[in-house]
Amino acid sequence: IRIELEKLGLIDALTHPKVTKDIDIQGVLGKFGVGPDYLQDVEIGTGSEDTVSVAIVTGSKHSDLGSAFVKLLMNPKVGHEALTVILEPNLPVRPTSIMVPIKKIKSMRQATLFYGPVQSGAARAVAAHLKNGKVPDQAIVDNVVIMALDIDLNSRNRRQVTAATERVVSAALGQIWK
Amino acid sequence: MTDDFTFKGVFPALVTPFSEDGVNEKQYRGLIDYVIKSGATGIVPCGTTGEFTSMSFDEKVDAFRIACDAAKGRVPVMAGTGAASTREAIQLTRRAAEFGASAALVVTPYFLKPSTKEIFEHFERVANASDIPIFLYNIPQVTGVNIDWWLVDGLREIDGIIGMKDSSANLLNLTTILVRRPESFQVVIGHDEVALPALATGCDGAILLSANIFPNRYIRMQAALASGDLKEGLIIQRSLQKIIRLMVNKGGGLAVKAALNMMGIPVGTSRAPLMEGDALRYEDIDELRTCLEDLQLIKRGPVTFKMGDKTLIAESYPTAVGMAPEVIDDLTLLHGEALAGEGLEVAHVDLVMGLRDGPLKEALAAAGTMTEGFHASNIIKDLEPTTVFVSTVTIVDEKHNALVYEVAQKAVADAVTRTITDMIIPEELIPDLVIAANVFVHPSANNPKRVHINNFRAVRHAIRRAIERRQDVNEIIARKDSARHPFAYNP
Repeated sequence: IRIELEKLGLIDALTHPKVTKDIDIQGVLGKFGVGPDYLQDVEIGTGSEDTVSVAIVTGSKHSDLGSAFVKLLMNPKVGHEALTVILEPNLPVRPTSIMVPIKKIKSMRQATLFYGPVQSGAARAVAAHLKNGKVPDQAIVDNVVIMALDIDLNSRNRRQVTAATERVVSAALGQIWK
Repeated sequence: MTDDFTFKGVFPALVTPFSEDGVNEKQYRGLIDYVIKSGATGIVPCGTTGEFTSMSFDEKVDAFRIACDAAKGRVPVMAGTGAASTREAIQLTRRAAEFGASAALVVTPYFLKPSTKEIFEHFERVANASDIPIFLYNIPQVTGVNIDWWLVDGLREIDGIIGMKDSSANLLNLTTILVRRPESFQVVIGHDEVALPALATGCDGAILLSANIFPNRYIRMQAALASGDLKEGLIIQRSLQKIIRLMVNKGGGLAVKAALNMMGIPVGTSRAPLMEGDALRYEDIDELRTCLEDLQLIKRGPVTFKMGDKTLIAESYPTAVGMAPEVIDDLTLLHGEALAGEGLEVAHVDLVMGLRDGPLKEALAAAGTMTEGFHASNIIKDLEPTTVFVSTVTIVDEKHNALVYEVAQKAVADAVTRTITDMIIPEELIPDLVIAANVFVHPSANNPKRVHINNFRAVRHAIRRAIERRQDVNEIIARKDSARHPFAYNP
């Protein structure tokens, strides 16, 4: 209802900080309990637009990144809980991937934006990469993927957020797997 | 016209296996062999479960040909010859008779939803033009047309109409029909979920979707009722109710096909628009499998787990075809995700598992510690394999706390234990394995029993998916465009 009223100009829109353009994945994950030691043998890709930006880190599950993956899932920071990247419930993507929000989730609106259009867009980008045969077979089986995303919480257009997320994640994946 | 067809026992409403360009004859014959060997006393090709509305005229005729040939000398065939138009119903009935069908099952005309008079005319014309006896077929939940008992009064007087299949589950209408009919008018139940009460009220037999899978159970049910043993009948019903409810409500023929495929009786997939992952959700597929396992219809066989250079074997793994791998070659870090249930009691679980000297040791290290600003995790007491538990939702009140730490946590423990009794994990692996589950319980959840059921299911599914690497890459690519994230567009 709030979003619709804002669109109609009947109430003032809440303003939120802008999207971080260049995500410092080391710093971000460091705050979530996963310091630079965990990120030794990894590949990183980034992508950004006005409404959403992403940093992706991936590496073998046998490396310390595997431990980072477990830590983020099982020792989650309040407001920055990691979630599996899914096309829809019960359909996660491969390689096994989780995503964390950079900005603390403080309300249901923010939660449904992140665990909705953003999650959907990210999953579609991975699925497209798989479909195009761009992810090496070894990586599909061996790797874990951690995505850190920042979104413009002013966004009112969910379809736009989904599409933007798909674009930036795709760009980031493209830096890792060409 | 021969009216001497007497319905006995239970006839499966056969699913139709499809190939690229029509009916898959080999698979169809395989299915018919299976159901006859499993106790079916007749078969019904091209019913609702058979996806007859997705078939061309010629394909239906082909199905009749195969069914009649495969069943010849063994059991009678009641061919599904209903159609939206009178002309087509007449033609189909004729072709079915040519191949040797003993009777025809004719559905009320649908889609254009004719009036009572038009329904009457339709059946009269079909019966007059037919050489084989006709059974009326009432399934208002899909046709939009109901055959009320007073209409049956008139229809059963028509020469050539000797019986009726009722799939409405409307016991009021059915009971009145049964009470009013002469003994010579045969009435069979067509809705699996009310098979027991319908048979107990006097139905002469059953044509059921789940009889594709376990016709023998219904034969036993009928025998029990015939000998006055209602208790035995109830016991049988109780053992089947869940899987029946699942299949009837989550995709019908689609679900039956999924079950048969899992059991090693290949019948292919359904035709578009029906598709797995949608009407039959992934959650339903996993649940269907566990039901079949409980009925001992899933073959059990060895699955190899590789732990370094050691090889461990789960001898009696439930090897559902297309779901279970032969070898699990890396136990470093397995990941499974599952959502189960609906509404506020929905359960969502993210689960990782692996050898305790691998990345899972992070979960063990964090368990029991309290860090400011982080959710606290704990190792579940008295549970093997070692299982770590964390809630991703901040506890809001006492009730929520109880639901998370008593109900949901217990559900996780129960699911892990059940996975062991399901013989999924080799015994020797248990001490070396660590499972870690992160669960979601909505702050406004109310119903503790449903929270338990949903979390139990979700964890059980997540563990299996982690081990079996589901869903696989092909499925992800296939569903890339049709997948619907529930929160993507709805606020």
